[in-house]
Amino acid sequence: MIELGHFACIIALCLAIAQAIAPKWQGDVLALQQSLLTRECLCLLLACVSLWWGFLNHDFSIAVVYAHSHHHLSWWYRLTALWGGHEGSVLLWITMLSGWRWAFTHYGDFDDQDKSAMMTVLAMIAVGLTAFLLFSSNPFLRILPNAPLEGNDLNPLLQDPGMASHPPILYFGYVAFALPYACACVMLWRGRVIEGWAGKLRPWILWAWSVLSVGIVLGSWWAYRELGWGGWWFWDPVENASLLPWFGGALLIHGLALAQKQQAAQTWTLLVAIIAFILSLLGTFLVRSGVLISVHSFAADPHRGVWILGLIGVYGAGALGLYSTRVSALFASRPVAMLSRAGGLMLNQGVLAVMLATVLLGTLYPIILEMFGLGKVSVGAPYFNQVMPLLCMPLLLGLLVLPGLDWQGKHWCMSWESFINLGILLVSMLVLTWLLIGWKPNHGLACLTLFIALMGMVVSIWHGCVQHHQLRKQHVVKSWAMTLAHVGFLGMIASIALTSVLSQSSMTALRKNKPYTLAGHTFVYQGSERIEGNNYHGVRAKIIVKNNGHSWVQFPERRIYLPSQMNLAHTAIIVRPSYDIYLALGEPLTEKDNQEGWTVRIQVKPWVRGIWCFALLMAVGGTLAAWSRRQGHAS
Amino acid sequence: MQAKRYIWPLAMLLGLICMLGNSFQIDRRGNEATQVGKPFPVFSQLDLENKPKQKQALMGKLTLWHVWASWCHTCEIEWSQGFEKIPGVQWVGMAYQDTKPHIQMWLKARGDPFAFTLMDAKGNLAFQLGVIGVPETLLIDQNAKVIAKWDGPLSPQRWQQQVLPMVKAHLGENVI
Repeated sequence: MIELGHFACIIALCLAIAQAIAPKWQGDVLALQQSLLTRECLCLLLACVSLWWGFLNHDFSIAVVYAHSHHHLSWWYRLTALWGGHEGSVLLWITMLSGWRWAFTHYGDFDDQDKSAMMTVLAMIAVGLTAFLLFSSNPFLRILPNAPLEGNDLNPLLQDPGMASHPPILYFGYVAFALPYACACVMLWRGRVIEGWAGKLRPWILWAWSVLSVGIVLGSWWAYRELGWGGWWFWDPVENASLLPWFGGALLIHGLALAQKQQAAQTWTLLVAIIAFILSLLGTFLVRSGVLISVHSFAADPHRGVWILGLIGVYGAGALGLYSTRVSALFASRPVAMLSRAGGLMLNQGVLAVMLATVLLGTLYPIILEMFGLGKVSVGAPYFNQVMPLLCMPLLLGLLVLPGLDWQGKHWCMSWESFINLGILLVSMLVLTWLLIGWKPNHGLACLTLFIALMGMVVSIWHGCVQHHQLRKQHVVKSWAMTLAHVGFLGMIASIALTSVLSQSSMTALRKNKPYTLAGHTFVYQGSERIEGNNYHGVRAKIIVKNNGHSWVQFPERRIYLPSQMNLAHTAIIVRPSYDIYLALGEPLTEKDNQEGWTVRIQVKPWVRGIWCFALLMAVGGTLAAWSRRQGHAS
Repeated sequence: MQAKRYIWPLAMLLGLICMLGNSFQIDRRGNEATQVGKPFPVFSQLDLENKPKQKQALMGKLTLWHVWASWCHTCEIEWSQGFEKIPGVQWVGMAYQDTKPHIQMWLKARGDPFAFTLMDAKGNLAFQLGVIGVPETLLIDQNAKVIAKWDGPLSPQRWQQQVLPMVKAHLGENVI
């Protein structure tokens, strides 16, 4: 079965090559490419199915099944184990790329000729990556003749619904960045602008960015529940790698708006289109291949690393080389008024670009230092936590004045009445901030951020309502989509500020029947019992949590996964409307303490769920915008 | 002339690729450019209980020097496996770019395996030690010379196969 998949994958490579050289033929190139692509999609699906078949049937003679599966693993995690390792992830990536290409040829708004040229570029990307899969990360290899009888098991950290769904959703977003890249390459190659390119690309990139946001949220939610630390973002290189394309996408969405509405900053937006794809390549491959996981494993597999660098080099240098020679002839520069919506978008581009650069620099800093022989360090959360909130501030302020700006910058759309409204808003939000957080001199920046973000939310919603009455019907959905995305962003920032200031956390020894109090909640440990799971055993503690007459029984666990003997905390979380109560079991008290008990990490985290909910709202806004644009073109 | 303005993205990308390519060539496992085989750098720092600690604290004992941080979740996993105490060997902790409250909370929760813990808030000592990232563990002999260094978490296998044999060899058979 697996050989069938292997064979299908080789055919897929040939089909991709055929699509890449199809323009050499006479006749209807696009139709030829489409029919080849359909077959390529089917081949890649077959390849995935053949691997799944191996996972489901415990065929441990297949190297990836041996590395990531086990008899005790339940069937759904055996399916998700496909992307538990590098090889399967690359296969998934390529399959998704073929899916996006298929959707693009059938639903893209571009003319046949443009579409066919873009298909050629996309096929070239597929060729490179499929070759990478087959020659350096082949998932179809068997361990023969001495096939193992038992597998190594999927990393227990990945045995969680959040982590199981996180990679495919993330990749689904990543891969779509190939579309604007292809468009940029085609325009540069021809030295001619495709009419309305920005508008035609926007729905695609909105989809991609929204999906990517959901993927990142899932990852963050997983880290929160599974790592037992109560943090939701660690500024780890792996996380940063997913954040970089996200910033790229956000840049692109706003840059394309600028290019579409004002024909301004097109040179810049084209560059962003290329860089966003390079970043998503960097994100996927550097992380999954173990190159960026931590600086430690950098040279884990030099052969693979050379391939990855080669691919980034070919696609990146190719496109940027074209860019450097041809872009100056492509667009006429067009100045924009600074005090206009276009000016605001320019500011947005600048700030987002600096944020992107900050994260990139922080992630690569250890490597840079090392290159110049300045020693070896790793950059942790402190750096990012200091820099990023400051960088966020201009974005928040920009959103605050957005409703007052129109496209041309002819006038401030502000009247005396609105100044009075503004005064009322200012005072009421100050009061709200005071109620939510009080004044914490140590957290001045967070308080200020919260205040501005709350104002921004009210202003955005108010602006949305005004637009609702003023705009014609087909624009109303677009306007609400933007409002939702902006409110989502502001709400996320506000939640982050609230959580970081108000969270209370305590590491304590809970003894049997001795109550402990944190933030108005009483915690009583009542005993523990052994548990047996499918592929783990462990202990769970019974802890009663009481607050104002409410009472909950919670069972935080410590699990030892059998095959790998990995010891993990399984947290218990009580979700309240405005806060979470988070319990993670540490170590049992030793016998000399003479009483049964556990060390427990107890946290009360207000508004932590707001971070994810508002981030999802942001994704909903993006999706709605993409959808409304498609509707607009269809009618 | 016009084109030259637009060449910087390409230049930056090529720079990035050279940089990444360059780091492939540095063999991080090979302990070069680290302190292995060299005397431990001279230091004088306060530990968690505000007692001054100098290099003399390492003399005459075999030391396992553990570098970690509370913000590092690989460390979290490593610590969940615990640290084995070997008679005649002292564990010393160094918290890398971290704050005292975090570290105290961490040690209270997970138990404190260390003879003493140093705060390396700015990463200066880690810099001298050639620490690449956290967690890392160094083995230091009785004359305060660094004899081995392990990057990344010490899994039970690594502990059994690499660390323990080396520790035993340097302790001499009469101790264990």
